[in-house]
Amino acid sequence: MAEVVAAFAVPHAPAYPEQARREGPSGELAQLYRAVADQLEAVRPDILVVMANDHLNTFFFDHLPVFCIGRAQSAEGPNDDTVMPRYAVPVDPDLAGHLHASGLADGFDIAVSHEFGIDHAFTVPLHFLTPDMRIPIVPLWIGGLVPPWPTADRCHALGQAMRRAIESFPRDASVAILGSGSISLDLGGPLGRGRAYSTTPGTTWATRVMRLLKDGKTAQLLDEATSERMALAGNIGGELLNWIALLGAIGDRKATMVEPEPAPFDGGNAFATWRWDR
Amino acid sequence: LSLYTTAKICQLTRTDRRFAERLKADPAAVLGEFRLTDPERTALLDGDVAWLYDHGVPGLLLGALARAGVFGLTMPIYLERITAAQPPADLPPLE
Repeated sequence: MAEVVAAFAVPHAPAYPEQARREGPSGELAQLYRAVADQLEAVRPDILVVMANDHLNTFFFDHLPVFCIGRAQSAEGPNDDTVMPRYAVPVDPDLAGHLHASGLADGFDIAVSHEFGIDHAFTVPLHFLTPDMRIPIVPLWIGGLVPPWPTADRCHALGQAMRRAIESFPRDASVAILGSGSISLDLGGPLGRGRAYSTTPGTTWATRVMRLLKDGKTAQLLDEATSERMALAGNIGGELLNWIALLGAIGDRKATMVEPEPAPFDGGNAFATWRWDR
Repeated sequence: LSLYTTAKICQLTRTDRRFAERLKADPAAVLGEFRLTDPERTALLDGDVAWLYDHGVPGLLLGALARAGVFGLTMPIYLERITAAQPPADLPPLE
């Protein structure tokens, strides 16, 4: 049987790969990803379930799933204009199919895609954490980009269902969860007050979320992470739902590491790990 | 609002360089290829990104119009105009 062995959550800002390249491996950004990568390497998972959102690159308004699982042999990305290497990422189609079927049986009407690209929400974290792309992934898209967003409670329950599904997968496998996304980010909306196209209007909220993660107060986070509250953190603030789904998959655990993104960025992003004795 | 159609025009501008060049060269003619309401057509031709944002076109897509320099938009003009859009309603601070 499979089990969830650890979880990690990181940002996927498209500027990060180039920023880290310019700064070199000793730069703060690279060091933060390195800290998470070290934890991932220590766990040596067989499969990564990546909870992320698309940015209208894989999906568009013609078919816009709230939840979708990618079931293929591999996926290429980024399928956007992010300045970074292009990767072919292996996918575990067996676990993907099992999560899809189990999710449906568990009351979650998850879509499935059998041929897809992946955008920077997947490739930026993987670029830093598993650049050799040796760990197969299962992509789980969560529709936190275009309102109306699914609720925090629903995404948390989805994570719980994914954990149940992983634990019923009839193959010995250690599975880590990777959450991908910002806590506060606005792209081209009025919250930026005309200062820049990309802004961070919810740094107070981001600090609050990081505190709740450190304290393991998931129920309180679910209460506070209303759609209205996340929207005040920016029109990309729904990416927190990827983190919340991750929390559902790991139970009530305190994060073992939570660090905000370094300057010159504004603190709307964070890096986190969840490890436990097995 | 034909959210889908306006969003699709933004998406084509974002992903199809030749479409963006055609749109920049003759915006009225290219918009004529799409079924839009008069207010939508006017908002696009005027580069009224605040109106488009308020009617549901994501900022993620609208930014492509400024980057492509269509409808008279540049990024400074975009940033100035988007401040007229309706921000989400404020909430009381958390305890």
